[in-house]
Amino acid sequence: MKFSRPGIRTWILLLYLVVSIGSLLLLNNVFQTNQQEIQETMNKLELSDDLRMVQLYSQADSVKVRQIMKTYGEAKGVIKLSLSESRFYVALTLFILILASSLIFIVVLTRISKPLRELKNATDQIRLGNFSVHIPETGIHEMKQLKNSFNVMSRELESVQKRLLVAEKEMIWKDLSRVLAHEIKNPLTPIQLAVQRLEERLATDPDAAMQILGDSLDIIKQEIENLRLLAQDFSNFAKISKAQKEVFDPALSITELCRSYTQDYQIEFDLLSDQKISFDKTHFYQIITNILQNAMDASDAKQPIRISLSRDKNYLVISIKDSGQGIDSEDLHRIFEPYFSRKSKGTGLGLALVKKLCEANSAIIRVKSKPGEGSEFTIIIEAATN
Amino acid sequence: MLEAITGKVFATIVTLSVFLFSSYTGNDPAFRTLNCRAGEKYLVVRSSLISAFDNDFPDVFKSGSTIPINFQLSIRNKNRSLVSRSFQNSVKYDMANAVYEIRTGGMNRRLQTPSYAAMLAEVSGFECSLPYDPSWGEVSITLTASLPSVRFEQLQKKVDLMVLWKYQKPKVSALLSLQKPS
Repeated sequence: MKFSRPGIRTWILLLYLVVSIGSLLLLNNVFQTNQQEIQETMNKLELSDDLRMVQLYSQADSVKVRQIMKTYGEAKGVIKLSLSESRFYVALTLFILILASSLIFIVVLTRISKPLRELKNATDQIRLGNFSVHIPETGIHEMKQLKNSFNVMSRELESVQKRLLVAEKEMIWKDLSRVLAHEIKNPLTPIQLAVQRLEERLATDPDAAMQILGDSLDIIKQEIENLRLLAQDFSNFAKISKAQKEVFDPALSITELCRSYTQDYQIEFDLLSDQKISFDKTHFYQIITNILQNAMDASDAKQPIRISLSRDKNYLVISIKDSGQGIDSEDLHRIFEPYFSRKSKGTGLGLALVKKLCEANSAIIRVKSKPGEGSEFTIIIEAATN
Repeated sequence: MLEAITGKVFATIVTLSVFLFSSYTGNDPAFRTLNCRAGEKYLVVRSSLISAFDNDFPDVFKSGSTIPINFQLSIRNKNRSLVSRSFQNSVKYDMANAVYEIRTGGMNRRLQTPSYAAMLAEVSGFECSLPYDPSWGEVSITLTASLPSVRFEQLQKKVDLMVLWKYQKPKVSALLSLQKPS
């Protein structure tokens, strides 16, 4: 059972309980002391023996004295009994009172704290995104009103959330349709033009048609390849698998990966060796390839691309810096959004994929860029313990 | 069963409340072991009360009124009630002669004594003989004591004496086989 720090209501109730019980105990103590004194005084009263010793000369006197003795004896007995009775009942009543007060204290405390606890739990649920939470509108009038307001708020939040989800889905589909239409249209136009040119030549000069046939087929092949890559990009983004982590040296992987690019591009390495990371190797290749591809797209062949690997405390920092055209500051915060691209060719899924892959491997990606000066992508990965 | 539980709960509450909040001691009556003996025709049951009249009773006994002590004897065979009898011991103090007049219900004895201790010994004791049927077999014998309410005639006041026993009825039980050996 979890106990929380008592609130002001609990302290007030507790204080009230302590004061009332304390007063009762004090009163009882005074009462018991007085009763005890009366009892002791009663014990000292011995009349019967003295009266019995008195010499009586007449029968009438004897009867009268006997009567007095009997009344006195009974009175003493009754007083003794009454004293005992009152002391007994006072103790019993006090015990029952304290028991009842404690019970009432617990009940009141529970009744006060229960709705507040319910509200706290419901608020936690809202915080966790469960807007369908509903609390029963019970308790005192003010508490009912508060619970009612809370329920209205949660219903409204739920409705807003549903509307937002619908709008978001709609927006995603619209964006996707737009990008897809655009990306499919791009390769279709050269294919159409190549086919049209071939048709025209075949109609007017079939011999000359053979001369452009090779070029036209190359164009068609190239554009079909572009369409295949486009489909592959979408497919990759849709099926990001769960990270299958393995421990490897990132410097070796980067070197191996960049081997095919070093002939055409000027890539400079500054890689700290003998470091290990726990990362999905396929994801790692996809991340580095995508960033490197972007760097190469943004740079001329002569502009250097610098890849560095350094260590900062428990983390390994991989930086890929180009000296290309850079990214406008208003676009910088959108580059990881799906389907966002300023390039003439591209789906806008590359960096979105990179971001998702980093998240899947608990890595952080950051970007710094200045238009005209180039961009620097930094990936921070926790170093693996050997 | 329910009565027994209620009795135990009440006894606990009473003991706790008196212990915690009162200087009142009262009395905690109990019985000595129940002595049962089956003769040829009669069953003799004996016991006596202890710690029953130590506090507050001297003045009550000396009040001059008749103070009765009730005994309830019950003999049962499993759930079957075979005998249920009530007996009463009583004490009356004669102020003029300073003697206690005692009457014991079980054996129907009457006696007088000036000694408070002798009176207590007599009035605390219980003895009775009852005819029995050997076919009763194994029986459970239970003896319970209680104090009634007493009316003080001179003062026209009725007081429940059980308060002096803190409303606890002493009880004692014993098992006895009444079957004759064959």
